[in-house]
Amino acid sequence: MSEIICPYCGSTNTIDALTCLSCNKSLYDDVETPAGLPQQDGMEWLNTFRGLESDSNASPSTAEPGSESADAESEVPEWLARIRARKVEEAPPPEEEPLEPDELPSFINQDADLPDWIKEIKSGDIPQPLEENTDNIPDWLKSLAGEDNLPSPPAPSAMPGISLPDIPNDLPVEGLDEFNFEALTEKASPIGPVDLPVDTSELPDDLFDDIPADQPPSAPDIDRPDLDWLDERIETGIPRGGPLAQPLDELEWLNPPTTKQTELSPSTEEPEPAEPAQLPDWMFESVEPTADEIAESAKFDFAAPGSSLPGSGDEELISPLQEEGLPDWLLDDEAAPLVPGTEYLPEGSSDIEEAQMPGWLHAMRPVEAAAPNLIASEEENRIEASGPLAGYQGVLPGHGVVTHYSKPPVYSARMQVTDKQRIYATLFETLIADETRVGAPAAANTTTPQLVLRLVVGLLMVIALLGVLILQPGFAVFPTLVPPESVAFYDTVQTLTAAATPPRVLVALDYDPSLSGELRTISTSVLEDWMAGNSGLAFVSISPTGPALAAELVTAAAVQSPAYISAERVINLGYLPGGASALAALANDPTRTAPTTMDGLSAWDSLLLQGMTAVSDFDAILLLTDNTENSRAWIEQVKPAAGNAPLLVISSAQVAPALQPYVQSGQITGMVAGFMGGAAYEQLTQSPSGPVRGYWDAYQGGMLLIAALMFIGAVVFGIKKFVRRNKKA
Amino acid sequence: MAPDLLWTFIAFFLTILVLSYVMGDNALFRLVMMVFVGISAGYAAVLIFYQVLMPRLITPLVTTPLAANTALVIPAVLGVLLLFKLSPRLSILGNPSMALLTGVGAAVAIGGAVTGTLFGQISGTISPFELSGLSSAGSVISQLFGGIVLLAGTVCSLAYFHFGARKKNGENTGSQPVLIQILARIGQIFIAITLGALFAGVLAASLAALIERLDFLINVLKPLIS
Repeated sequence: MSEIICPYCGSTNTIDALTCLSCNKSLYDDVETPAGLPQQDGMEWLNTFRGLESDSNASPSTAEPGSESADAESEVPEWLARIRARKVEEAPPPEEEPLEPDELPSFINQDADLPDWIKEIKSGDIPQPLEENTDNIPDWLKSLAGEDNLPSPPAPSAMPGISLPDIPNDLPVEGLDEFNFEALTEKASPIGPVDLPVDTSELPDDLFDDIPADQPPSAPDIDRPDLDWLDERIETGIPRGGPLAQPLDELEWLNPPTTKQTELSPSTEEPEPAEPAQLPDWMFESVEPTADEIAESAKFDFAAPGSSLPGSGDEELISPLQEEGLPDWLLDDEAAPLVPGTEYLPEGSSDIEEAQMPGWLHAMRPVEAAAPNLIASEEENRIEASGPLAGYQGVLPGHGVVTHYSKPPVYSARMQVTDKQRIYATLFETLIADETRVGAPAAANTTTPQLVLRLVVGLLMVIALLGVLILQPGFAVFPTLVPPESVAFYDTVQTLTAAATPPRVLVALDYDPSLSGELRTISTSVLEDWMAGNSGLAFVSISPTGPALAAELVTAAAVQSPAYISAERVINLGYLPGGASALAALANDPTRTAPTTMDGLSAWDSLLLQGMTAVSDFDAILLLTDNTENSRAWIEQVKPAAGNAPLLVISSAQVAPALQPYVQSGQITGMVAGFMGGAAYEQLTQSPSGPVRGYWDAYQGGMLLIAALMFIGAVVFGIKKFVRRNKKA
Repeated sequence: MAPDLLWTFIAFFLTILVLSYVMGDNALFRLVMMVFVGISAGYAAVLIFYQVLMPRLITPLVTTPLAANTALVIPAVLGVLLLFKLSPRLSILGNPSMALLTGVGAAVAIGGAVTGTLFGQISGTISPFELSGLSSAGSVISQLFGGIVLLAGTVCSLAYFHFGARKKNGENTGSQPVLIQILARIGQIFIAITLGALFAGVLAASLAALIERLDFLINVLKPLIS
């Protein structure tokens, strides 16, 4: 209460002003103490009430301006004087037009219609007030008393002659939001819709008997029961923290209808404006606090609101909450930065003593122990802006924990590698380098040149051979030097065919049809010699195609030997399945291994093979082969069982190098290999029309051409390589 | 048209198609190859059935009492079990037959290699140094030189396939002895000559086959042209 509101124009004036600065009317003309109103005589309660009003500022919504008298001003406590002095310094110019005196509610002037209970009070028989001590105050009211973002109470309007304590718009008043202002204004009853935290059943019934339910009650009828709690509070010394919300709500009706209230509830216009002269005298009596109360109030310090209530113009409300009544955490909130829009600066904050946070509140903040210091410091300065915990500071650290996190530690990714491991890694890298290296792009498409080259070489070979075969130039000379194995072969054949008894030869035919042209050419001359000696030929093969090739070979050789009776002297034992195993079985018991001929006749009962039971009974074994494995199988399996029977081999040229060791070792008696061997054999036999001789020019020409092509190719590729090397150099 | 002439023309065209390989792999060449493989397989199957199974297994079992041919039951059973190799699920039933074939084949091969090749080659390597039967000095020198070359070639070729490494202080040094390295190097020369001779033999055999085929074509076309 650092200012006095003019009862005529509603403007704010300094506390020491006697006339309104705006309308120049006397501020105390109508507030003189009525002569007829006794000051004593059982009205101590009213003085007490005024004392409460002055030191507690517990009725924010019922603030009535300008009821201070000059006498009371001299007795104001020190804290109030200090506030007034500061307000005087900071008082803004008045902007709001004052209410007309006729706009005051009529109940203020209804002094005569005091209810019985007031009369009883006046008579000194004060009914027992509601026991409203701290025990009856619910905990929720205590705990939530510090909320600072409650809905703003209705703007206090100027009340002529009465100056109620200023209330900050962010006064933490519990239950104010539950107050049904609209219902209150409609019924003009502050009791009905108000949800009192106290049990109204404890109130005496006579308090409510005289209150009409459908009409606005007069001021004496209403304020008395509502103000009793103030008396009780003063008597009991209840701290003015959260419980002060109750008087704030209950004194709401004392506020004259403001613009805002009118907008909310048109029925608030019903109360007649109270004339200042009609106001009860007791409302204008000065407060005369006792010395104890002054001393007690001196301990308190009010936090001046930073902003006035909505609709109140420049009125500044003083927080009714005192530091002594406030919990420590609420004091911490005051020191903390406020949420924009809801903050207020405490007046004379430098004078506010820093309070200590109670232990129980520390216990409610376990996040301080768990959260990082950074978060904790931020949490200490953060005020919850919304939700049921709005206004509390550092209560919910979860937001900070989630949104604020420390940078994760950075670990070194450098490997600790030993020298040995480094060497291995280098070697491995070298190994895979060739695999991962992209190969050089192909210099050119080599498919076409290769095809052309192959076509040229092939056609050249074919044309050359055809020309030689057709023309038969005879430029090639038969070899005069024959290999010793061919000589041995020739000698063996001549020896056997020259014998008195025609020899019986086991002919092993194991070559594929693909090389029949070579082997048939070579063996034809040999078979002709054997046929010339009327030799008995028993063909056997470990190749399925052998029997057919044998028949063809006999047919071709018999052309040159018309006297030879193939049907009698030639027998085909057919195919022997099993490879080397079949040869081993044949070496052991030929009669059981190859019992029949190709015609199904008993082979060993024929005239040719009659009396023979073993391989050694044959005079010679002639092997025609183009395969190294089969040749070795014959040598390994049959030759040991053949005894003294010579093993003669007619082989393809491709097998000759592999069979040469057996020739050197004597396991092969004689061998004719390829056209070279056939030419040597024909050279030895002096056959003028041997098949090899007819192919000898072509064979020699072809071999010469191949050699020339190989030489030319080697030279060309050598030159190309030399050129490339020079280019690289 | 006589059958021989027909088969001659068929052989002629087939030969031409095979020679088309000079222009690279083509469908005609593959056709001839497939015909050749098919005919060979069919001929082998017919031959085996009529030359092996019928006269040596089926006919004896059918025509003669079982008591007289009890030994044929074993190959018959093994032959039937071998057919289960065609089925992946029942192929295990053919394992006894395969085991018999593999075991017998390995035993025969090893026995023949030892007695026929190993002993024979050792004897052949030693025999050139037997100079008692030679009368002239030239023959002795020639045979002795041949024997030395043969022995050197054999030893050096075997040294080339020696992959052992000497130990030094109980640890493998990773390197062969110097003598082995020298012999291996010489053996490498002998092996190269041998492989070259084999390649030359293959080339000579192929050339001989080509000449024979070209002569066949000439013999077929000569009557037509003349």
